[in-house]
Amino acid sequence: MKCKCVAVILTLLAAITLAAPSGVAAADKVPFGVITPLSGGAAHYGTNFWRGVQMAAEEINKAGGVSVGGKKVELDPIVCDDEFKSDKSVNCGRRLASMNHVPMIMTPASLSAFPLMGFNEKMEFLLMATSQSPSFTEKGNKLVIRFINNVDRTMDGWLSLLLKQLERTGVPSKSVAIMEVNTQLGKEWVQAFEREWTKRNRVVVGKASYDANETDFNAQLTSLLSKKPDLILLTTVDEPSSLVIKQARQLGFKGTFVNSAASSGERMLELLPPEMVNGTLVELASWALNSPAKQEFERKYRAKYNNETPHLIAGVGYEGVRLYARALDKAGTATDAVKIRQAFPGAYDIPNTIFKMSKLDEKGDIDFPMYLGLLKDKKVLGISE
Amino acid sequence: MELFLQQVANGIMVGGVYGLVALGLTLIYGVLYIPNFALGHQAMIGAYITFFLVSLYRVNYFLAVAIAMAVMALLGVAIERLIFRPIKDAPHVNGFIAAFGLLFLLESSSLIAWGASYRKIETAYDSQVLTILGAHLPLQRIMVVVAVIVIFIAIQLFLRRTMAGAALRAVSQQREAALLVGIDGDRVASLTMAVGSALAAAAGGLIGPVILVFPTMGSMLIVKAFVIIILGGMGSVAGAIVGGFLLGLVESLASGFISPSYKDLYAFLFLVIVLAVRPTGLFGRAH
Amino acid sequence: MTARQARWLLTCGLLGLGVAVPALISNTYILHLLVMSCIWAILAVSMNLMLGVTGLLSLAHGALFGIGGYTSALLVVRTGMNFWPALGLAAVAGGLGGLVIGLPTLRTRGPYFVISSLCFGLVVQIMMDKWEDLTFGPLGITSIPVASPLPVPGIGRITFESLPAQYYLVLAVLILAVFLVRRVVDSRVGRAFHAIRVNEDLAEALGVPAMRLALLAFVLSGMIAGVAGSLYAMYITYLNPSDAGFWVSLNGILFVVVGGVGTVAGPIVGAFVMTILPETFRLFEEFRLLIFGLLLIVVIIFFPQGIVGGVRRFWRFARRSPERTTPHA
Repeated sequence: MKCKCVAVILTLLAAITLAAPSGVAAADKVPFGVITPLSGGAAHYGTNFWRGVQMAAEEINKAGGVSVGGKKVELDPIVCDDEFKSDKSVNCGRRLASMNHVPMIMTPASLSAFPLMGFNEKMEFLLMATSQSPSFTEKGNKLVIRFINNVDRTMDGWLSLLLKQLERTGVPSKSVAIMEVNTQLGKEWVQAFEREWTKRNRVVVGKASYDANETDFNAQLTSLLSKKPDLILLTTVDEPSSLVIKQARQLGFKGTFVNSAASSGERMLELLPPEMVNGTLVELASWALNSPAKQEFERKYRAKYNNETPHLIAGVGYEGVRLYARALDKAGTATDAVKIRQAFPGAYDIPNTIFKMSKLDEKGDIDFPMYLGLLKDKKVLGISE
Repeated sequence: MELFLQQVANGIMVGGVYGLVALGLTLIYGVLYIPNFALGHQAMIGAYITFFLVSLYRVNYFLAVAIAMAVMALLGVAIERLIFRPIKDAPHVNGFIAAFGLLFLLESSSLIAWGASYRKIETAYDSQVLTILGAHLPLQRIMVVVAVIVIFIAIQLFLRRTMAGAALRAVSQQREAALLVGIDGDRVASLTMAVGSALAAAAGGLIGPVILVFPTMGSMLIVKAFVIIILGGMGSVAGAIVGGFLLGLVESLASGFISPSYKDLYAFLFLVIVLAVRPTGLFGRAH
Repeated sequence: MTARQARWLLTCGLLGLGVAVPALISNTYILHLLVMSCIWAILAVSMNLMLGVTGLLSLAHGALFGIGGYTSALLVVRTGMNFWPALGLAAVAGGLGGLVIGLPTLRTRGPYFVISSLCFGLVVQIMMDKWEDLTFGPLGITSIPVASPLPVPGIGRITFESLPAQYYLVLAVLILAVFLVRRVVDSRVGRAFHAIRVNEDLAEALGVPAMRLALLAFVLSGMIAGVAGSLYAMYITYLNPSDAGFWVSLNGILFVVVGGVGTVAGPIVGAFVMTILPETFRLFEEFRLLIFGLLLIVVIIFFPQGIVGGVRRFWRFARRSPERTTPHA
């Protein structure tokens, strides 16, 4: 029991360490938080996001910074690894809000975002998340901004585009087998898909779920393939998706694969030989349209990071920071989250964005049209109609 | 029928990998009572070594795997000396904690050194698929099964025909008695870790081309390996191999005939049922 | 002052400090960490009952934690039930879970028990994930409300909207849990648990019904773990199947062993240290996991009995003096 001394001493020591201002903001630095998985199973995705954020911040700072209320300030992104766990996300959020007094926190995952909604209004920080989950903007939270599509709003249009493309190229598309990744995003995406798919009188012959950390899908695939689907729907990032594609091909599947926006397609091209992956269709934001802005971004990313292919989420992070900087400019403050949120709708006048987005509504949703990417001969071709 | 054969083939192919890791684990856990949860991550390091040798230095694939095994064996000895030997007399749960410390160490090191992106080991065998009786069998996966069988025979020969192997068996059966007759417990410990680690590296190098190489690739493997050694009996080499294939088959056939959505469930449920009926596992001796 | 008096003084002092904390510290981040530490400490106390007192290393307690969390969260969110009865039901669910898991797994011992408890835990986690009609599956439960106001005769109603209020709630539950476990450990049942840990066969021979008592330990610790889960769900306001997973069990074991297995303070010290310390490493974000792994290895090698064990050793070492060669009368 004397050993409770140790608990006290350690707690006090820790308290002192924590209370010590970590990264005291210099007078002209404005911090914002980035909660993202840098370790664990989602590390690749989370690291991409962080890199995109960093690139944007560095560029803006190099160009002189953001002008807020007449003064030039530098952006100071502060990253916190949440290991893709909700309680660590809360740790990060609390830390960033209390210690660094950030007025905004960005995160690329629903799993990280939702726990933060429990206290972001109370602690007055704006939550920017790339969650496609419809419920993100349905909770009445006044300080959230989604800067990717709301899958409920975009699925109908996107599915029409998909079916038109398949018809155009003579690919049979009456039945689909779904490989559903067991994340919140995966589930909600599939829900929206199934809803729109069955409305069009088409069939789902089978559904199997899997964990994105898994590597062997033969069991699920063999079962699904026995039902002879025309299409296989994947629902996750490129790496495990490419394993699914490979194994399905090796089991004799000759049909077409379709993937959600979790994948950006390019990585799949790198990991698989053309004959396996040609013809695959991916849900893509205007990333697919390969705008000059996107090409420029990709060039810069490769130069900085060892010629690696950027994931779409890196571009989203990059764009999110640019939007934020514009919002700060319009709001005239870098500390008042409510004012910044109010200024956000006006921030979409940035020229040359990688993604097409507009019309931020009061709930926090934006118009973020989704297109198709067709993987063919080592390239991703954007299809918009 | 074709479906059934494919499922059986799937089960054997995936079971081969499980078996290889389980083999390493059964030696380590069975002989040293070290619950080395980090073995899956050791397999991962073996896969990375293979990847770098093949892609950077253009080493022949099989040679690369062999080198990875040798390197991992040395690393295993170091791990035994520095981490597990100091705590060998402490309660076993401490070994459990140490293994997790090692796991975090290995995972974070590989994240820092090599990043989180998946790496591809290019071999000629990965794209070739044999079709036998309607079942599709990728060549690389068949190689894993062959490798498992070859290694199994090699290990059996080692255990039964060499002095070192005999020492290992003695320690696993009756530790105190073995020490009394003069067997050097510490050297056996180092040897066991070396062999177990090499096996893990082989598993990583062999399965790398199939599933890609990334820092958390070993996480699920080790859990299944623990299930297998309990199924097959701790310390039983045959149990590890048979258990591996059995687990693969259960997963595959159940996914096919019950539902593919519960794949992971079947392995764990199977163990629960087996233990309920036979608390010492299928081949285990009562402790 | 005798050792006993010193202990009382220390306990009272610490309790006083614990109660005074919200008045001393207004930094919400630190307060949050203390809340999380208390919640994890409750889990650690439950796992210590299994590991430290009864000698059984169970990896299923993450699942029991999750069962408790899901039970109360689902009841509150789906049926609008008041938090307090839901908390009670979470305890019941955790206890039931302990019974259901304990019955088959306790037929085994040693590593077989460890792995079979692990498997059970994984089965529960997977069920949480797949049984979507009940649990919402991977979507998880969002917007879990805070604890309902508690009417207190004479004072009025206590609400739990504020962070300090939530802190007091979890602190109170922690103290209650420690007290409860202490009472059990000091009773005949507790001594029987202890006997099982030391030598089960001998205990059986002496008439201790090992199986039934081990099951009792499982049920009791399951109830406490369920309560911890319920508080976690209420505090984080978001619950998903990974919160019933292996990593929760793993954390629990780490807290107990690093703190000091079998001691009263051990799980609490372990929970606080292991929740707060990794946060201080955020200064070196990239190397955080590396440092943590290294630290874990070093601690377990040099402090095989945990922090509490190490402190005790140091105390004994510091107190021994040349004159004391003969024991006191």
